[in-house]
Amino acid sequence: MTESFIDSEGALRFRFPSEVDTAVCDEIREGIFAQVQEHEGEVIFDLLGVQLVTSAFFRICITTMQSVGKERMKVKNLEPRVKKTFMIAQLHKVLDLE
Amino acid sequence: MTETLAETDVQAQINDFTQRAVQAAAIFTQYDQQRTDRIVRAVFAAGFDNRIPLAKLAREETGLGRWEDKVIKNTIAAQFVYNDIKDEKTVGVISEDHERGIVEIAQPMGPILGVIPSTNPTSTTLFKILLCMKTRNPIIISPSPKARTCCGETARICYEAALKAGAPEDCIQWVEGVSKEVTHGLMGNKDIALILATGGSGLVRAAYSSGTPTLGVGAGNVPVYIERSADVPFAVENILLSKTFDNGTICASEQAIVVESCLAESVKEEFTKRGAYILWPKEVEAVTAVVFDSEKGLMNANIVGQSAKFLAEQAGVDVPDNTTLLIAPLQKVDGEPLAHEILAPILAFYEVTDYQQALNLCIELNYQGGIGHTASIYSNDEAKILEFAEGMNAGRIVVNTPSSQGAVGGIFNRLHPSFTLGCGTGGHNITTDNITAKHLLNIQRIARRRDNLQLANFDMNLYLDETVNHEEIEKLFGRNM
Repeated sequence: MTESFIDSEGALRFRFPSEVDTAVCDEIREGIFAQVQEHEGEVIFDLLGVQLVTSAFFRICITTMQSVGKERMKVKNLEPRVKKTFMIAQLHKVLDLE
Repeated sequence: MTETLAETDVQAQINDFTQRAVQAAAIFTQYDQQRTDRIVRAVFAAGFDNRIPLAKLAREETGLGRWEDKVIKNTIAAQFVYNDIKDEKTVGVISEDHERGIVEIAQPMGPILGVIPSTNPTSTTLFKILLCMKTRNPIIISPSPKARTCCGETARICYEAALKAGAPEDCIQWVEGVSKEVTHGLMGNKDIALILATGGSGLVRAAYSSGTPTLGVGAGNVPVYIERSADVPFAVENILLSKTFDNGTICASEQAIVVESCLAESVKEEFTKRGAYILWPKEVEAVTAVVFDSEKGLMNANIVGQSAKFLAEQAGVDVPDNTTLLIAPLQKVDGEPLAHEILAPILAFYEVTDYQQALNLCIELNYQGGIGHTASIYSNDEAKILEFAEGMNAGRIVVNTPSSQGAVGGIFNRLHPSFTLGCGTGGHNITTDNITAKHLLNIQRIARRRDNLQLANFDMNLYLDETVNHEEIEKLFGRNM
């Protein structure tokens, strides 16, 4: 459901299905948190191709950020519509969106 | 210290509500029409299937009206409103005018605060939730303290159905517990995009004063004129149906009947035949003392939505057991308490000599606290219907129709079914419309270039010539090319 790998720069990068709805979040949450705990470098949520996110996904982003610290967590490759969603929810104030 | 803690608690509640609503608003922006409509249908189905228990709960909690009539109100709020909005485009491109180069795009407004009255609690909650889901706006329901449980239950049922259909978390929230402080705090919160304020004038005024854009309502004081060309038994039957509906709790219900002398006796006779009781002058005084709070200059809140029999008993007036409506013959409007809005089954009755006097009296009643709301006429004379309509300051002029149901729309006419009836500037509102989904959208307009050819072929220097006046400009500007 999610793909995760260590990218060329040593970051733990996660990729997601096109719709990260509540059901998807329920399935991926624990796996993400476990991997993040074990990784010491940067964590990237790569949202390439993601068309829809939910509050549950926001919570995963925030919890991950709180766990690793803002400087080690990035959300990248947001589609404009999803970027707007993060902006309306005012998450650009707490997350590093690229 | 306790006060400070309470204030902190209230602020925490407000922040929690708005943060959740803002997130829901963000998620909602991603939804397409199909996904949105699936949620709307689920909410309609849940609301409709629970129309009876919710009606009973509303009656039980508020002590107002009749549960059977509240079922009808819930049905209008669920089924009729759903049918009215279900095919409407509310997401993305909603209209395209290639000739003018204008494309309209619907955008949600953001979190909406829905203020709910005790008179129509479950129906208004259902109505506002359906509109908000259709327009992808999260809603926070803030009920009257007298109707917290039934409104909360309505919101809960709708929310569960919406979630199952894929709606964003927290797209429907409701205020529980100490609601007044939270409601007022929410009204002025920067994250609330719009207030849908239905309720008493104090609450609506507070909403307007908060600085947040508000769609509000005004008080009603509906005159009903039975003009001489009317079918009297039909008119009386309809007025009874309307004024006794939910014991008169709808603000669009008739408040005063106006008839010409030639019809007065037959109108009274038809009312009496159908269970109305015509009060004697002494009885009018006794009933007035019960239904009107002279200190506040308003109807007595304790009689709202009570039965005619109950009102008579409170006033010590002996009426038959089957009495459904009290009728108070009056001589004047000014200074007469029963010429004001009374949300209970009691009607003022005026007999006048002719049409002109009738029209003037209706205008006087209309301006006695009901500006912008609703007026009613029974007539088969088109010219008089039009003249009556032009004379009234009312958003809705209902013709040969029970005004409660007529103003709400969807049953006896093609007005949008609504539980928030705009009263225009006369009622201190921005619109005279029956509020519906289109009022909860921000409409963007893509304006493509379409050069004004008249301007393109016009010598613009003429605008700088002080000797050129408007007549010459119009002549030159309008010249064929």
